[in-house]
Amino acid sequence: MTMLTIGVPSKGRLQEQTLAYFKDCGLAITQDGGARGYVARMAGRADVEVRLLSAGDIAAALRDGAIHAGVTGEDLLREMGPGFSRVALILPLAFGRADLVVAAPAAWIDVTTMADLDEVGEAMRARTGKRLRVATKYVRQTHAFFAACGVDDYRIVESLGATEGAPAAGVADVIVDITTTGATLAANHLRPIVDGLILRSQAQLAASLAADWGGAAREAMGAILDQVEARARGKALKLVRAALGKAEPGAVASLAGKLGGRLAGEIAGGEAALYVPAERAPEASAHLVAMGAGAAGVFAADFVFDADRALSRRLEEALARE
Amino acid sequence: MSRAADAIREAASALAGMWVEPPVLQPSGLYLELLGEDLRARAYMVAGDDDSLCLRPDMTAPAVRLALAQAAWGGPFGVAYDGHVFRRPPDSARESEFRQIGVEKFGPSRALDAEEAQLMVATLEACRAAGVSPRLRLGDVAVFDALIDACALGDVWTRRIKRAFARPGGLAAALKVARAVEPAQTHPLAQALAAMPPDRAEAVVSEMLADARIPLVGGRSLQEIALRLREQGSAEVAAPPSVDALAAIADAVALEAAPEQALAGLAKIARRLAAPAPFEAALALAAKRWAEVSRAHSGEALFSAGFGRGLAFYDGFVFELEAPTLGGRASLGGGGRYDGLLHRIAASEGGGPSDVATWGAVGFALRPGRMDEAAS
Repeated sequence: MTMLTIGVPSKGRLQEQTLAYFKDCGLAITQDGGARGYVARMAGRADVEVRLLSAGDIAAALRDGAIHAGVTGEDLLREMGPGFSRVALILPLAFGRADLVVAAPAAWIDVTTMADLDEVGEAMRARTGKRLRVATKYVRQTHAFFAACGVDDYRIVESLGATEGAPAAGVADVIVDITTTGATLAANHLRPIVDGLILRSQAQLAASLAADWGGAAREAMGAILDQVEARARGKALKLVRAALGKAEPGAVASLAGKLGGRLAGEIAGGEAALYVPAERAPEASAHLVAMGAGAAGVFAADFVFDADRALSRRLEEALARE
Repeated sequence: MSRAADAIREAASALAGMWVEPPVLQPSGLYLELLGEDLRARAYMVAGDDDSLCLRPDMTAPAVRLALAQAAWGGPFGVAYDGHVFRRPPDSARESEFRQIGVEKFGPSRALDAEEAQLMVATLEACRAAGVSPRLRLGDVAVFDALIDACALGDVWTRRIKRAFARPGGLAAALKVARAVEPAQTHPLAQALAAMPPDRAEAVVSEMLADARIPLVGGRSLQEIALRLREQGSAEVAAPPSVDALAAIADAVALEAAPEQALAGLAKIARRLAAPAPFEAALALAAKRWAEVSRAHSGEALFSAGFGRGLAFYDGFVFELEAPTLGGRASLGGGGRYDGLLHRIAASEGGGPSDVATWGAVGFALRPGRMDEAAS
């Protein structure tokens, strides 16, 4: 009865944050067969199977259509090169943030820009006959970025393990790698190149365009995206309610509009209810009271569903392009 | 049977003493060093234990490797080859595998100059025998290099502009940067180091790094770092290159015309330069070469000092035969002078004569498939 398969990270901080995210959206993920299982279920969605995979495997499974959707790093998705065209980024998740950067030895005090790196590469090649060695596991993005910067006297040394250690180990001169705080770079005596930021990466909820999106899968994914979107909207908005009292219904409506919100519905039964951006809710309440309304209360909205289904639409549009 | 293949093989036999059959699988490490990372997009890499092989994307480097390993290098000689090369096509309409027949000639650098025209004439004769009238496109990286030398821009700008020439759009960008240089925008530390003797500058850099507890990692020495800082601080980098010289370079590179006209135009530009002697010498060599080639070529010919960029390893004259009838700039093959590539392969693979640095290399490769197509 599984209609939709979703990949989530199987370990580490990315897994914690992904599970917390879905739980917060009312879509808690629970593992079958204890903590060691690699298949899980999603609360309230009997039609969904969750697979716990490594972040890299999720990217590959999205490319190959082995799962419908998944959460993984944008850096890994983009590294698939042509395969990236078979993936649609649906929602950036604001966690798992990391920058893909070019970093050179801190001791190279004459090198701050990509143009410097280009000149140094040329000088090394002229002197030793060997190219500047760049250690990375991000071969494709490195190649594309260096080409865009006009740097060509270099050679990629593919690294599978601790890339940052490659220069100190003597197997590379510079690196291209993911960094969050820069502390690991500094500990390895490296410094980012100022114009060497390749990608600001974060975790993405992505859909596979290669998967079989038969009616039921599409519907299930649409429902999940609606709920995720409703949760985001719920966090961004507050519900302000007040007895209308002497306040003019027209003035209440224009107040909502002015504050970037809207009426929650027709003003009826002598009560006004409006959704406004959370940070403007106190202001809205004060205005209502000043306009002659009764006591105004501010309420949290866990979810706000709306006819504007931006995320489902993004999925539909991506699938339509295929 | 291919009429073109027969014609090229005959021309190749007349020029080369032996036929070689280089292996289809070549070490990708060598190619990555020679051609750069672009190789990954152009060649078929074969997954090995350590990504160590690729299908040969051309015949020149494989033929050079064989010649270095097997030939006697007693005097000038040539090798010929006939085989398939493999390239990732830029679009699915193009072939990923095609046949190349060609010749690589080696000899003491000076002795080889005289053979350049002969080699080009041989390809033109092969075309005639195959029933093809190609358009001949000529360039000369040595002419361009001599042009920059003649501008007397100083070491740094000479190097930057020569280098920029090798990449698409790079020259325009470099000229723009050179024009925008403002005096005295250099770093104070670099300026201070430039004013010191080299060993003193190195000691200062060493002390600075030690104070900041920054160990040296990566493949550069303190000496190199200090040297480059001194260079950045030098008056030469701070001073913008002459506007007149930059205009002359831009004019020279923009020139594309029939060889007689183009060479005359370049000679005119030479008179605007600070030290025209090397440029005029290179032009004279190009004119002499063209005088010999033009006797064998009745079709269209174009010379441009800007042609030759992006052809990776050529460092002297370069030519390409095009078939306008096949659309666009469809290439039937081409060739040129590549002393530097010979030296780099010899340095990394060994073999060849002990004085290989005084040897030169020149060659051509033609595509019989395209030529048959152009003839029909």
